[in-house]
Amino acid sequence: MVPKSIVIPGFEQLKKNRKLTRIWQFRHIYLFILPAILWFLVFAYYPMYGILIAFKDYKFNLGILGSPWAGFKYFEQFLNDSSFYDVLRNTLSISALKLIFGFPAPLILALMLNAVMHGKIKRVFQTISYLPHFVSWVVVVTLLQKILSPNVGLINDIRYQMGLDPIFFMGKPELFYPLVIISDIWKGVGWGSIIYLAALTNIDPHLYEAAEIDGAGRWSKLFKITLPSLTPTIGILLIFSLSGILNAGFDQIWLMQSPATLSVSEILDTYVLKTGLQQGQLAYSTAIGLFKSAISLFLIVAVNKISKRVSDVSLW
Amino acid sequence: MRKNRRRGVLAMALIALLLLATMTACTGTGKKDETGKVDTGPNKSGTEEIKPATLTFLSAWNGGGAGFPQDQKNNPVAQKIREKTGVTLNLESITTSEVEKLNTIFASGTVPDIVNAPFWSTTGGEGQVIKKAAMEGQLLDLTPYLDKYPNIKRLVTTGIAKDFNEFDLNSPDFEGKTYLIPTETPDGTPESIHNWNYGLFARGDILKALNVKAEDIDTQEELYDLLVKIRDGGFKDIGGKPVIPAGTMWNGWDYGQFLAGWSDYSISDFREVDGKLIHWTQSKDYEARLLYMRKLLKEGLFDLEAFNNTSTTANEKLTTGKLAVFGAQPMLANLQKTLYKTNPEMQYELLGPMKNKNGDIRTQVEKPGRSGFPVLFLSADIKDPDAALRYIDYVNSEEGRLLAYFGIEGTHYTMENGIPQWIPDVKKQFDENPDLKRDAGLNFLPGRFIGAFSNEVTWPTPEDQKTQWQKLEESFSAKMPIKIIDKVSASYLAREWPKYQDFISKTSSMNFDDEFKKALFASSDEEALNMLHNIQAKFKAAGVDEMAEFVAQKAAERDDVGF
Amino acid sequence: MGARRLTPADKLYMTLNYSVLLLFCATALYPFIYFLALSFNDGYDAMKGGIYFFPRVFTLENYAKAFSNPLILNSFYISISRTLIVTVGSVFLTALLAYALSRKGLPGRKYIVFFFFFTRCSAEDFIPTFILYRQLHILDTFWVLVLPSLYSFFNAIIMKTFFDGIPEGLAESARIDGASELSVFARIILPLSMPVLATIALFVGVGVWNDWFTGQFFIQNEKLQPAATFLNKMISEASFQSMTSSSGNSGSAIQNMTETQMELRGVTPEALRMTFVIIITTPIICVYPFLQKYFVKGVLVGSLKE
Repeated sequence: MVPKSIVIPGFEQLKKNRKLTRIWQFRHIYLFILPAILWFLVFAYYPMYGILIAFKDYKFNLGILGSPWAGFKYFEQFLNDSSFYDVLRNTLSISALKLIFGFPAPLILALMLNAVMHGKIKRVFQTISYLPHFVSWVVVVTLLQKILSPNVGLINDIRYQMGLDPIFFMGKPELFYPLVIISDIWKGVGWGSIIYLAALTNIDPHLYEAAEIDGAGRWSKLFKITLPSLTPTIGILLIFSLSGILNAGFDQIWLMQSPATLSVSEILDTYVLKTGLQQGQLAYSTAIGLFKSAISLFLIVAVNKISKRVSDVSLW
Repeated sequence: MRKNRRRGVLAMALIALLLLATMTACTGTGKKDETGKVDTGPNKSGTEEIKPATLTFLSAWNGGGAGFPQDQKNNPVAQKIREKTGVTLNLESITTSEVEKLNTIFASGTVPDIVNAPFWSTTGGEGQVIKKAAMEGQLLDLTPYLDKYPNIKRLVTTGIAKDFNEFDLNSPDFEGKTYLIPTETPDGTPESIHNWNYGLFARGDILKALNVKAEDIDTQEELYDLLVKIRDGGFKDIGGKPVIPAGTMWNGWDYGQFLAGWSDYSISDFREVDGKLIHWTQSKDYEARLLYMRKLLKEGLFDLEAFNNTSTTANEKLTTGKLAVFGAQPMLANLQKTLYKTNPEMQYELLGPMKNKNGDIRTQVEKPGRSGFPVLFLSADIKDPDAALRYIDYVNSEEGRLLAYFGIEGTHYTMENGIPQWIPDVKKQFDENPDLKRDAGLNFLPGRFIGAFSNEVTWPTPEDQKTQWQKLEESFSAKMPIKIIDKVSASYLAREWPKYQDFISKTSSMNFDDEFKKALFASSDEEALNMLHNIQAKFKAAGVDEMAEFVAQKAAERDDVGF
Repeated sequence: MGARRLTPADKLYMTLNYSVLLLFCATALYPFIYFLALSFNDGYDAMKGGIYFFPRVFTLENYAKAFSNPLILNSFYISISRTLIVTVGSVFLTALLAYALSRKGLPGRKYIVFFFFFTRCSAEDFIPTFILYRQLHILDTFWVLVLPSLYSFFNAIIMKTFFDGIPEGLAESARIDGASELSVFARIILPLSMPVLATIALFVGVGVWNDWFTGQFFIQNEKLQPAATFLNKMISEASFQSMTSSSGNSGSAIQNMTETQMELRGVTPEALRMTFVIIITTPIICVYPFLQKYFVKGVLVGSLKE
């Protein structure tokens, strides 16, 4: 370490040169990145000016720039809305549950598929497992309603045969979350497992062989080899999932909501849509959108930092 | 009844409202302002030469392209119109939200020459966007052309409800200019107003088995008793499964039919109660309605799923006779092809008609003229406005209308006693393959270009040619004649209230109907009533009482206001 | 390396594994059997319910209706070209980007990644996007189907994560031998990354194949609309017709139809929707098996242990 008291002439110049030299060394790499930067500037950054609306008290005849500045008025309005906390609570509850139960599911499926010996059977299982991904929520919810319907549904039919009373499943608030989670897992687990399956192929088989020789059992192999190797993938996917925490799945929830369950099923996005039709609500809903983005930005940065500390996995 | 199909980016799409002005005010990306435009007014030359012109037309209705002919340019109707007016249209439509499309075209300055879009009111939705566009010079001012095109003038003045005309169609903000041409409007005669036949319909065979006459059921108590008897009567649908005593179509439409006893003839948001004027949300009737519906739901008399019905499940229940009683329109289009063919004994009969609060029959209430309809407007940038107006004017002439509805005389139809009749072979072909009719160009003009007209009135079907279903519909209409109230709705007066905008923004996130439906499923009557009072209190806090007072005052100043 | 004898615990585990998988796959597969049955069943008959595995009133009407418009084959042509071009293009470009980002020691890497990442956080508003496309003159052209789909931050990060896992040694030695970055990328990194490339190709391909939004909002020319948009349009129009005729919303629709026209033919919007699902999904299901062969262990991975 050079003591601060000694000044070597030209040292600064040297440092700068080194930096520049490195940049020059990497010039090809920058070239690889260049098209992406251009693309993102055009297609992602440029359209962002729409967010200005959230901060303006828009008056038709004055235009965006001419309209009086509203500051955080709409954000305040939102925070003061009596339904806000309920809606937020619902949104977070659903997201949290989806994270806890839904996040591990694709991984578990991938591990299970990986354990299948016969290649052909494995392929068949895999192909079938992601079929639900292709079915739109409209169709899935219709199916769900058919199965659970108190009138014509399969399950209630059986109950009827047994002499039991029908249950209106989709109308029970306490059943709403489980139904949402289960249907979400069913729909997404196969598709989500693809990434993990690809990651699994990257694991050096010699590691397993060596472990075998050392007498390691199935679970040992899982926890000492497989999972650690998958950590980067898991980590990245987790970070992304967390950033979407305020989303909770609009399409699905919108379709599954019913007046009977609204107290638990109203989430941010459905609420915004319902209130979105009138004048001025445009700014209001943009404000909410911005609010969501801000939270997700904060979350990603925070989680990324934590992840870096704990496991060396991070986005940057 | 508009079905709400808007989803997804609706709110964000409304950004166009703002960006429209952004374009105007600051960036200047191609948006011209009013003063720079050349508006030559009607062509003043002596004998007009009919120059051929090709114009773009947008039917801003979700799915509206369904009626477009395959060959847009050379189908028989298009050819004839071109002969007479020189105009060819390029048709386009959308399969997304109407509001979004409107916002897009205005924000980006890509307005087609002629556009037809929904116009239900100017305080929200499409109407609001259109109004804004008009005020900002995106629509062509049609006022100077009206005298030249008498049919268009007629459309602009006939079949429109007086108050809608005064406040929405010719909103004061338009400063006396005409921008919009109403279409799908009645022709000014009471007979031309369409009766939708809303009501309660009960399966005929069940009524017979219970020895009940449909017309005897006309109060809420009798309805309740009937439903109980049905529930306990062990009736089945065509699949052998138990029926649901009462239900509705998709999304709970229209459960209100079961609450007729608490309705009255109103044309506004206000009610006269004990000599005072109140806002509809404050009506005490809602308690009774709530408790009645809850009773039906609790006792297994009403479909628990009704409010969750998708059109698929609703159709299934309908066509299998699963609903012993349903509240909606007669739904004949679906039923005649399915249930009525397989099980004609199950044909539904109209209950009642139900009596309302005042002992009158619950029926459709209309003003003499339609309030809210599709409108045509022209882009302010249109190069040849005369061509467009010529087209619209021609289609609305007697000759044009025959062409639009029936095609070419001699080829598709013949005139008998002044009434057009399909040539039998042609009718047969069309019946077997509806696409042929569409491709002849006969499916898209009536709804989108023709107004102030009723084909039922002008070309009534001779009695002997009416189908049994038409006669059935007519029998329903005969029992529930439309109640015409020729007054100005008090709701319009509310707009003049100084705190109106404030009220709108305070109540925008409140949805009375949603809260009501939530309360229907509350775990106890007490809780349900609490929820109801809660939402009523919220509206009260937003100032509805003051608003009602204001409106009452204003109404007293005129003699043509109705509630 | 001999095969290990299976212990009873193993056997139990395997049985459990298979059972769960079987159960799950049965539930995943059944809906498609259901849709298949419905798509071959007369729409109006289907409304009565009760169809579970096989069509009751067999008909090809739904498919006939779906394919009735001559433009539909054209739309498939558009979809296929679009999918191929975007998949190849996007995978290549994204891989380049991911490789670049994975290069250790890249000056300013943190900032660059953040630059890309930040865009993910704000919601994309529709109207500014529409105006952008208009300014770029790609509206109503084939390019609007291609250009906006070329990059995805998510895909780039996934790839980068994989590239990070490839041992430095190989690339390093190649560089020392004088190979250019492009060379290293193409000859070493890519071949070792087949699984992730196949994965991303699948994601991009499926995403683009199913995308009906772009074609709906940004393209007016019917000849340029991809299959997903086209089929969606048909369902929408069929719904419109059935709604207006049965609920009488648009009075003129009733007034204007002949009596039997009011009875729609056997194709209901619901039946059409089922048919649509089958049509749009079948190609993808057929493509996947071809991609599966890339989901095998990277060939050279083991060789680095020396």
